[in-house]
Amino acid sequence: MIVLMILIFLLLFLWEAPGLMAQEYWRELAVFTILLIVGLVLSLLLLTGVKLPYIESFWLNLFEKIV
Amino acid sequence: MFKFLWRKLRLAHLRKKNPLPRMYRELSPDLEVNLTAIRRELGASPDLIIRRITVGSAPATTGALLYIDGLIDQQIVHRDIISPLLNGEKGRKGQDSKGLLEYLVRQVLSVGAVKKEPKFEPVVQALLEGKTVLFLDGQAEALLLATEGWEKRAINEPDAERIILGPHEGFTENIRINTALLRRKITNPGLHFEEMKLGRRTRTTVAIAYLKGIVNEKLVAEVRSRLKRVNIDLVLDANYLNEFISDAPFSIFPTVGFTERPDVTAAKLLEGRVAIFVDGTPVVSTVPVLLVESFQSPDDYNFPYYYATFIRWFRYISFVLAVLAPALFVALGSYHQELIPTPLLITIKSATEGTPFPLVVEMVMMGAVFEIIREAGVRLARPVGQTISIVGALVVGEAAVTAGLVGAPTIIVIAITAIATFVVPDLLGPGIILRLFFTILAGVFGAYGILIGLLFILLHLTSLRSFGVPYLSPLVPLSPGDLKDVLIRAPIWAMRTRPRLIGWSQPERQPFGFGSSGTEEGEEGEAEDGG
Amino acid sequence: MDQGRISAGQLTLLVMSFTIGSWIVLPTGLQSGQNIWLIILFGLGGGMFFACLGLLLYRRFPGKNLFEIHELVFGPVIGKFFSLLYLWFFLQTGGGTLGVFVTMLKSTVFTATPDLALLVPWVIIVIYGCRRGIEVIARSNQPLILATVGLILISILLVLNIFEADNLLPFLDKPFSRIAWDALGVAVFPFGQGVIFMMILPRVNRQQKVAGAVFGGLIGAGLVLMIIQSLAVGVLGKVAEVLVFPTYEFYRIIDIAQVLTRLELIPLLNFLTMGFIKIMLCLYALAFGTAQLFNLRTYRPLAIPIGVLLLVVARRIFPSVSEHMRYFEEVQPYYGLFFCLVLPLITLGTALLRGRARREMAP
Repeated sequence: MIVLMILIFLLLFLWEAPGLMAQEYWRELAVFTILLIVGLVLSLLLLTGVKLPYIESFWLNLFEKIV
Repeated sequence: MFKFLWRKLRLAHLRKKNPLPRMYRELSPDLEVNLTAIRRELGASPDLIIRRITVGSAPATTGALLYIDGLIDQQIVHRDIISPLLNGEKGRKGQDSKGLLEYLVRQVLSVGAVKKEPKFEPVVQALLEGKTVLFLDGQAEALLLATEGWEKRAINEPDAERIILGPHEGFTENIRINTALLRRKITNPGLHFEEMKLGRRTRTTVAIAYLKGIVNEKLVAEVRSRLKRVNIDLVLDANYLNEFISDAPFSIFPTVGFTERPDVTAAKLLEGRVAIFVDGTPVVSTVPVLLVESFQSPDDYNFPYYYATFIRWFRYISFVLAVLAPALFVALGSYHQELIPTPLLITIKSATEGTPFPLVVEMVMMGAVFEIIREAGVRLARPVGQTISIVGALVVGEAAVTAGLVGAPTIIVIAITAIATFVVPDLLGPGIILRLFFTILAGVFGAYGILIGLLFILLHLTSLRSFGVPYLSPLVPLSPGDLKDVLIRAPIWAMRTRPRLIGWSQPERQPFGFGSSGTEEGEEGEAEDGG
Repeated sequence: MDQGRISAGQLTLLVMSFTIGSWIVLPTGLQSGQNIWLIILFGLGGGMFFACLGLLLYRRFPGKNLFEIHELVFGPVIGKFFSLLYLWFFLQTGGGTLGVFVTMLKSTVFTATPDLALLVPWVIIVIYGCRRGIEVIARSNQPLILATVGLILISILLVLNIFEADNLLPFLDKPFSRIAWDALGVAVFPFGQGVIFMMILPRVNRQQKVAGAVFGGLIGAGLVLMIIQSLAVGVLGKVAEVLVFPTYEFYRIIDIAQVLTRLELIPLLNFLTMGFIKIMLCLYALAFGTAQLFNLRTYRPLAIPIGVLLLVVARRIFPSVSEHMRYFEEVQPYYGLFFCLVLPLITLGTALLRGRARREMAP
């Protein structure tokens, strides 16, 4: 499953990167790659069952502490 | 991905780019040198006829007539060239050799179009186009005489676009006849043709036709420049060029329109479009093209408007049916059975009892079988083709059901779909592909898949343009005035404006109403129907 | 970046779709029962006020989107920080819509389908549309919003036999503070989320029509929402307050001569199409904004990774619908106010102060 996920992201990278390289859009390529890696890490965390906080629950807890 | 592929292809192409050197050699004053050069260029082709002649008597000049047998009209060559040259030339006295050609053109040869040519390549080209070439010894120029004449097909009704009422003539393979057919429809000095030769090796004549004063000049310039950019080896049909000049080469929807009918072409020109004629094919391309044009038939304008409107809506419904019916059936049958009314569900269930495959597999399989039968019917000789269709459809369908391989409802859906596909012949290709696409989506995701597919197609269609005009217009972006020829087919007298995004340089067709005062509007007065 | 231009009319329709968005099936403030239409009216007023604020800001910097305005007002560092805050807001808005979308589908028609099978194709077409640019988004929105409004108008006729006007009475039976709080909730969501259009305003071809277009869109959306929620309350009565998807439920009841049944597909379709536009706009604003943040020349490649992020956020936005509703009840008003009132106010104030300072220094 993890391998499949990495493969999918690799595919996404290969989909987009050659075009950017051909046009010499290096900054775009960098931002794209970083965001893609962030997405990959988060997806892998989700996949392996790491308990990422629910965003809205996080805000709810924060507000309850403040009030 | 397609963009990427495109870029790759283009890069690979650029690397190998190797423009053919074009050298124009001069003709020699020596007759034998010229003849040898021509023979070397054309090889030992037996259809090249070289007829040696002697012109005049004092002094006698040797010369040669060259033509390609089969491309010329024998009668013209004999009556108007050879015979005057041999006989009518006796009386000439004291002409110096310099003025000889000029003299022949002015007083001897009775052919219509004559041209002097000092260069070698154009002479060869003219020979191949069916002209007769006259070389004279001592002259560094050749005379090109228009003697074209070859076997042509008669004008018949096009098979692909049949109509019930209205003109039954269609274009032929000869570009001259085609342009003449168009001129017969539009007797207007504004009808301009621009010719060019395309195809590096076939040198096919391509003509752009438009109606000056109605067409947008920028559109003509765009068509011209796109055609000029085409660098292709051979042009045998309009589609060879269409795939080059299309706005969206990877889309399944046609962004260049095509027709075989002079009346349709005339109507489109009068809406401000540009037509592209290609020699050697009866198919004429028109740009820009809109999606809604595929749903319009010439018959819409030949029948009363209420009936035409009615029929047009059936065409829309048929297309939706052709694309979506199998997908909906699969989605309902395998995912959302609760949406089917219970009695109907029971009927369907009992009919499909015991079939071994899932619904989507059945549907794709039978769809494929139908496509095979259709293709065989098209390719085979006509009488055999019909037999194939009947045997294939009836026997295979019936046998599949009785053997319990597929359910009878599947066969019904496929049959309805198949017939509905042919209602909109322009979108036959897209229709078949979309049907498969939607069926598979429905098989995987159910109704959700169909929705996904619809949204995707919507996004795709809204992003398409044909020569700058949004493909879905006048629906999206909405131009309410143009819906008169989309949602309904308004009476001809009510269609007083041309399509807003295409014919905006001369928006008014005619004054509104039944046109009793039409005489003042001389030039734009003719009430052409919209394509 | 994106050369596409949209017309003022298309902007109006976009604002409508975006506002109708997910709220059409998951209305907040329905606890106020029969006062719902009043609450939407107040909410619309609040939304118009936020829009005024945004448009005032836009008028000081015509042709600039929100992120450019930030950089002009606060300089590159603080400006980028503010922009980053908004990116988070857009991400949460888009992710939230996507989350509601999955929850809705899962709990109604597609009970057996895995989440990812619903999410992934959806995100793919959203990315596809986003990469095609704002022009395509605006154009494809046109038929969708027309269909939505048409279906809602038709449903007025469909519910005539089960609509009970008594359900809309008694009027104003709840304490005013309660109504005001609910109205604030509605003002912030869905109307306030329209702050996202600050990213799109420069793309309109006739700039003088921008304000009218935005207000028109808000009012149109307000009307549509008022009609549909009043219908829901009128049909369902008190029950509406306890249902999760009241809009969906009231269509279920419709049964005309046993022929027109199972019409709950109508709200589902409305929600799917409007939510589609909303998510696409969020993704567009995100990709475009991120590209601007890093001074990129094109936003298109970013659509894919940000689409993936949106997907991840949608999976981890709320554990259950009840938690989501609690969030809307307790946190969203403050949270939303921060983005559609506080931040624009700060920006506007700073811009005014700096403008005045500059003017005083100039002579």
